[in-house]
Amino acid sequence: MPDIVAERSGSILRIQLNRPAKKNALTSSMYGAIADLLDGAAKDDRTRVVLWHGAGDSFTAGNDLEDFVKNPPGPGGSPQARLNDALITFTKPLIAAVHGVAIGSGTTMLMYCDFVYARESARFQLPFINLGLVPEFGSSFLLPLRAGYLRAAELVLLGKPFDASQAAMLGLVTRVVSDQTLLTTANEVAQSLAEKPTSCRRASDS
Amino acid sequence: MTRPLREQLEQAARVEAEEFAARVRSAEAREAFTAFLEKRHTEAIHGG
Repeated sequence: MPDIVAERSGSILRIQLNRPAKKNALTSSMYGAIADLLDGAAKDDRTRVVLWHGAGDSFTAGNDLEDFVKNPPGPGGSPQARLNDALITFTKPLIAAVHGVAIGSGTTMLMYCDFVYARESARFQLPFINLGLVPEFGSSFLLPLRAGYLRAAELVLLGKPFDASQAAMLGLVTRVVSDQTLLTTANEVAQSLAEKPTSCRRASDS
Repeated sequence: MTRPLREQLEQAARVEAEEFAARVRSAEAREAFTAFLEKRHTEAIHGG
């Protein structure tokens, strides 16, 4: 099975991070594959909504450090940068269903989603400082915007994990749902969005 | 998201990417990666 599984059902494109043995840790090729999928979905009139989730017990553990050491992202043109560009320019509704861990880019990429649903047991973390790194995916801009400077500083400068209810309070999660209803909730919202008039939604987003 | 915010976000992402690319190659980051990977390896062996 590929590390990224994409399936379009009606006008909903589902992207599944599919590396469960590694808690869906993201390699450079996975970043590139997601970027390609989003770029393709942006141009495909049949796709009206994208739903993003993880296989196994987690959303994603973030960067796969072993791959990261072998393929460190450069200042331009890296798969991570391509995905960041794709997320910035993507204008169709993006929904994330988060369970297990959402670490590093697993948390920062959520800031591009229009709807984020998280299981009560989900855990989030921005551990960049613990790894001698700085925030990525535009999160140094987006996080203070969502959570306010003081809360953002605490998350970034201490790098401690936080739970789903705190993520909701910080503006990173739309709604915390029970562990049993995560995908059902995300699918219902995706279906509801898919039925809305596209032109009005795009105008609302511009 | 409004268009003005997108422009600021693009600028922030560019600055971040440059800093990130420099940091990821730093001795400090390499040391942290090695420590993390070794700890995980030890935990996998000892079930920690």
